Amino acid sequence: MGSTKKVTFTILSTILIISMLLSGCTSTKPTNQSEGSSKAAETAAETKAEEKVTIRIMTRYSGTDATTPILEAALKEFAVMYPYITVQNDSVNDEAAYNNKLKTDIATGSPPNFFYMPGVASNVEYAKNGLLMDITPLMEDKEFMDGFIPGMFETWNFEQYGVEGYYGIPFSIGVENFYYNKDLFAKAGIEQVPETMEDLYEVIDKLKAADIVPWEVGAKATWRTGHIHNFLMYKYLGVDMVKALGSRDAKWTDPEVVATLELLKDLKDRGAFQPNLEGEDYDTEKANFLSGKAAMVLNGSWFVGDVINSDIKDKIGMFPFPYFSDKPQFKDDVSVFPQGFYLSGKMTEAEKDATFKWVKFFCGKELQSKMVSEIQRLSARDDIKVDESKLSPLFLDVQNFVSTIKNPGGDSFDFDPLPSMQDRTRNSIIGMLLGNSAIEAAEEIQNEIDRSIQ
Amino acid sequence: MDIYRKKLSVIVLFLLPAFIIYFIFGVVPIVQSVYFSFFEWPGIFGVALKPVGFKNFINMVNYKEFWIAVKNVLIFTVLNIIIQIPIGYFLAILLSSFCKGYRFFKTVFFSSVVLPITATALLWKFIWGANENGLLNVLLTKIGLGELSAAWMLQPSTALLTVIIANAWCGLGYHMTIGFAAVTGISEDVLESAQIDGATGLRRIFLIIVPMIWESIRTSIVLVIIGSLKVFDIVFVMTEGGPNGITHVLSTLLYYEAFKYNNYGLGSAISVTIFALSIVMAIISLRLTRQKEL
Repeated sequence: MGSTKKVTFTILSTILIISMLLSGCTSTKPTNQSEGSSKAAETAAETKAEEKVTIRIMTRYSGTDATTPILEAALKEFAVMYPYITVQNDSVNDEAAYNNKLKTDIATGSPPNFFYMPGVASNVEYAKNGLLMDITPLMEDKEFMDGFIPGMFETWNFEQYGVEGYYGIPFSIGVENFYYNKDLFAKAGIEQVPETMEDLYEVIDKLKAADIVPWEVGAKATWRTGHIHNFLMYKYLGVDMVKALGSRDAKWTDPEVVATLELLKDLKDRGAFQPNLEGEDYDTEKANFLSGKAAMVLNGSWFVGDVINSDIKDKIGMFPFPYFSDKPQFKDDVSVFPQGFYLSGKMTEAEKDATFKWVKFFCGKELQSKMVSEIQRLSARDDIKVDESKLSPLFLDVQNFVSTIKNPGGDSFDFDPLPSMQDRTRNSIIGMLLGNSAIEAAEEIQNEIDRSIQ
Repeated sequence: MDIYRKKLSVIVLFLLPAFIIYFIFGVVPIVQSVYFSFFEWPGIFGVALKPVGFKNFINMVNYKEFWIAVKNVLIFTVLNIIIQIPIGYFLAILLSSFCKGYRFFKTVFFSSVVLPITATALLWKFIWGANENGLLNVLLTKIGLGELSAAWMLQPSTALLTVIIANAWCGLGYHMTIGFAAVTGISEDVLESAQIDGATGLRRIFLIIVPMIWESIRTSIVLVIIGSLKVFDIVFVMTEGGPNGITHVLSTLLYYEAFKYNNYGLGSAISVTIFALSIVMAIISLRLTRQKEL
């Protein structure tokens, strides 16, 4: 019996060791498939035998993100076009997990070849230290460049931060505006969408009187109230003033900046939002609005996909964030979020060549047209070809709105070189909504800046 | 076999692998953290460490959030001791008096320990949720106490408490198990003699059982202290240190400073502080709970 046990133990141990060794040998590679466009087949046929090269990409397009199928289809098509290039997809949807992974890669000196990184001014340090590639050589391809919306690359022109060159490649844009429930507006006796902030306050009062939640906000996701404050700053101070905060030519404790925080606090105090908004998450916010429980949400063009898949899609309209009637000069200052990708500054020539090919494919006209048609997300290009009859009226409204934007700004901390400003601004806003005063919130933010300067 | 057990070389040989692993993954990182706390590094490969002396420690003590985190971690520690140890050991003494069925209850009480922390944290987030999203608020409303419902995880007065209760729920079973082993290890003769002498009920518990298992209780206290000082996962999943930093503990603050804001030097200074605090509090608790010689 003893020897039987020994033999059994030996066999099981051997199986365990072999399986552990084999599990370390696996890797994720995209599968090659025979399907693909005729153009892909031609490119494959024309491609000479090249040295095999692997590039790594990191995006947020995984899991339930609407762009995931676009990326997965692109990887398959690209693999057919360039069989000698292996694209390792390390995309992660969750923000915290994504940032952890990327930070680890950067700290160990091996950033992905093509990757998304939040922030703009806070990434200048990486450019200074050679981790990000100056994409100016890529911009010499006129055919590729001419199709982008004019000015799209300026977001990543780091000369404004003291570093020469362009560092980001635009992929899509997100523009924010109000989405509203037409039926609920009618029920409250609101005949016209608000144009000014004064109109918005009246709309809020009418909706409250009709016992309808005026404005649903899932502030547990702190970016929701952060985005509202972005707009209040742009409409009250203008985008240029917000840039001055980042360049330290203005302070968060300046009275006019504090006033924008007071405006947000005032919105809560007048009952614009549902109770305990700070405890509600973003998914609940979307669910409540799309089930007809609230009249308005402020959201980005990425929300269109959720709307057109909902039961009340025909009842939803959009209107731009109102302006202050005594500040009409900021009417066209709008929150716009260009999403782009960086390239690694640590690539071999072969990796650079392969990555450029990926960039021109993924950010090129054909794939961008597919993205707009299939998931109705705004492209950074204006040379795309789509059948507009297949696009929802809501998306077309949003697309038309984009053409009216004169002075775009993203998140306020995009202009700030401090990495902690994203959390600091958003957390201080939440603290203010939970009971701190506007000046206390402003002081918290300014103290963070002063602390970093010391 | 006894000959081999007594040979020093054999003892060292068997202890060596564990010691090597502990040294590499325990001691070396601690020493490195102390070293890095005297430098600044932005988390970019290739950028040299910049020596800054004690600047990171000075910045740390001038940082309002640091003192909030210290206060929170002390409250966390004290309340976890108060909740976990008495309840855990009470359950242990209670179960030890069961003739039948004690195994079932042991398993039930221990199940909270084996659950993954992230699952536990998400469960308690669901319980503490604001408005109708929270199980507790729904329950209070259903039993006619709706006016007591609150945004438990948002209010400064209750936010940290929600995490402490969740954490205590996780750890109860662990200390119950330690206590149960200690209580069942008391000789029956001692307990019978005590009973004959009139020590029954609470007197039996406090005058006989507790002094006899006091060493186990001391061990549990030290474990709770060390665990509370370095707690991270449950706080991070439940509140991420928010809202607005009011539930930050030292570990979550370290995480944000080092891994989100690229202040690796300041993060290292915080980690050195956690280490020093753990040693100091463990020594203090052992001294305070030392039994006097008879």
